[in-house]
Amino acid sequence: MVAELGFILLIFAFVLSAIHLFFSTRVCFINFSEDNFFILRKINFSICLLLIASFLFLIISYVLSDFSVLNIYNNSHTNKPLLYKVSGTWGNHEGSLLMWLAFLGGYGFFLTLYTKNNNKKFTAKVFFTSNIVNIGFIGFTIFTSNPFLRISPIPEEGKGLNPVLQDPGLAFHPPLLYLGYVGLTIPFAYSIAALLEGKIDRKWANEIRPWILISWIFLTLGITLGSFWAYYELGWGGWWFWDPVENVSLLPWLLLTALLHSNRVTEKRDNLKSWTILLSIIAFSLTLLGTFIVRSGLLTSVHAFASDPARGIYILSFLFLITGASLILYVIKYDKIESDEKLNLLSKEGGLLLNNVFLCASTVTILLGTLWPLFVEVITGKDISVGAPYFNLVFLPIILPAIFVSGVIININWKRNTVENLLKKLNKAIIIFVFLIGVILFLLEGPIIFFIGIILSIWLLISIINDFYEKIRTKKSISDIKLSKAFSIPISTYGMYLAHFGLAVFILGVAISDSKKLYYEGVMKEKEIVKVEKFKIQLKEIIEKKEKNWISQTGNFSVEGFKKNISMFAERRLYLDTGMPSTEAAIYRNFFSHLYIVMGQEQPLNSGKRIVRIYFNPFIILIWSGAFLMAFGGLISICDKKRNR
Amino acid sequence: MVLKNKKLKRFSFLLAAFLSIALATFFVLKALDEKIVFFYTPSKLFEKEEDKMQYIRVGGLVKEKSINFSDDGLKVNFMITDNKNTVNVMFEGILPDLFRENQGVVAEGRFNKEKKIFMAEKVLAKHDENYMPPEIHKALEEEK
Repeated sequence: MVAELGFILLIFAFVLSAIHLFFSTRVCFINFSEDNFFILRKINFSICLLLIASFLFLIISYVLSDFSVLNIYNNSHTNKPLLYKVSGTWGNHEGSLLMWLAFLGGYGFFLTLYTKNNNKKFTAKVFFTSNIVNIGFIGFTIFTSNPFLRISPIPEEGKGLNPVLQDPGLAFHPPLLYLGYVGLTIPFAYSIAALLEGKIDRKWANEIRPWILISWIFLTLGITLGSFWAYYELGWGGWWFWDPVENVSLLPWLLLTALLHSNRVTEKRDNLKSWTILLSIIAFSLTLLGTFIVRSGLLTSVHAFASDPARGIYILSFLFLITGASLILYVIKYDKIESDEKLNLLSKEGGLLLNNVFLCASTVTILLGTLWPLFVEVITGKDISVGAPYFNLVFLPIILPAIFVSGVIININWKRNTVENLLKKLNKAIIIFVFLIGVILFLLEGPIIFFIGIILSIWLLISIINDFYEKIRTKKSISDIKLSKAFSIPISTYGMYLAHFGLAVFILGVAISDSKKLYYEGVMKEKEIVKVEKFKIQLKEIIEKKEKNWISQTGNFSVEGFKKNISMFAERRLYLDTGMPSTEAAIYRNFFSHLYIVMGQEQPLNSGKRIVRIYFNPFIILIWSGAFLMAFGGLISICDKKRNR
Repeated sequence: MVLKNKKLKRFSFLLAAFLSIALATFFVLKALDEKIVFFYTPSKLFEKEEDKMQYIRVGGLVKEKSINFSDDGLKVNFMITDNKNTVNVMFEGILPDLFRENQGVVAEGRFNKEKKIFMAEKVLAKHDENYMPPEIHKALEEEK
């Protein structure tokens, strides 16, 4: 019953969106009146609530384990804990699409709520555009991926959820990621509306800024959580694999980061307008492209969903339609929105533009590497894959200079600067920086990338401190600071500081953990001891256990080498409902570092021999904490009340 | 750095943008040339002419009863088949969770043509029991 209701609500939402399309076309382009605008708002609210309710009904069906629904039969089981019954809703293609719709509804709701007093003619066009996106996705769900399909006869028990997905990390990773993706709809809708209106100004940039930030924060958190989940659940000891699906989440993130910065220029200097618009269109198109790649099963990846050509064709057509129409509109209206403002390269806006170029270039290289196997296959018929070596070689040389430039941009003024002034402001920072580089080169050793990482990280840190110091000191002398001045710095600036501090922490984590990690792989039997540098690790015993939905063998390892001796438990599970095995790595945290042990299966059988992999990942926690700080910095920026005035 | 001439300024900007894109493209093409990994089925592997030990991928199904472990437990030997030809694979390390007989598998490494052994450096199997990597699916279709 619940499932039927969910489906009916979804159909209602579709019908209402179709009505919305006709009505909003009339309101936007033929006959505008305030009354009609308010009717449009009401339709908006209704669609949004219908979408959210439909998703809730699917969740309820999952919680009730209603196996007459095919999707639930395929992906759930009665003996799963409640959390995984709920998260199972979005652990599959159909359910995750409905979640996508629910988020469209959520964003749409707040958009409608907050734009009550805005320019009504313009806002109607925003509604018009976002509704087209709604129609596209609701249609996709209903016609190619209906999560409410029934089966008959009704099975007694479900097939169960893939064990690697039964994890709190996975419960929250997709929702956060989707909130990021879906959030991009609003900057996109605003951009199309601005093109239709033929007008874009600082107020426009100011209005979309919170939406860009929200989207960016969620995407950052979603990617971070996904990386952390892959690290501890897949047992490969790494945090980023350049898997196609990881790449398609990184692409919109990079462009969104570029958008965040170019939007700032539009907001502050009324410049880079057409560029900001173009970025929001392309960033949105990239999320569609990402969806297409993931859902069509074209690329081999750990995230692969069972493929269905109809879905690929639908999304691809939608992608071409939306992107094509937007770009044509962009070309037609380009003259109207292009600003006459001059842009000085030696200024904050000039630097931000330069960083935009770096970010976009790196996006292009990743896009190329991700899609290359498809091109080659179509043209030559050969199957190839592009892996981590390509991405490391190409991505790093482009993104590293951008990080260095960031430090300068933080310190440079808007509008106009001279080299002398800039050097005067930065001279203390440069002296300290050069001194620290000397100390580091003298004291530490490692590969070049290790030094590059540490140096960039320190540079970023020093430039933040330098800018802050310059803002709180008085004009009189260098050493005279006035702490009360710290309160007059806008909150959003502190958000910016924190986000870039997070970036510095992230880079530090990458540089150290990658260059200084220890790795051991070998065969161990019970009671055997191995030595990995300062660590002495013994496989004490194997414990067998039986739980509600799995049986497991756990290796109890005792480790000497930290201040006190510790025990670690590396587990291999066999899930009874699906018959699938899974590896649970043992991870011990010591300050910011991890000792990470994975135990293989017994091979040959009954020999008591198991391959064991041991990693020591120094400072690896900085990677995720850095990314988290970035997101937190974004949150602080949103909270700046002055911005929203 | 403050250029007096507006046109020169705009031009220098375009030049900078163009240069960075050209540089990016150059790196991309250079990297793609060296870093791509070709995929072969066992049948295609034997047809292959060149002798140099390229880093490649071989995919197919794990042949039934072909999995053997060395006595020390570290090395494993198995066969990948496309139901027409089979290739012998040597691997040292932990096999993926879903590595099983008759399951799709992709091995990454170098083929020793004289000894007819594929020395794998990585073995990949997927995390979903119903899922078959597209290359393998296609390979099996072709070799039917």
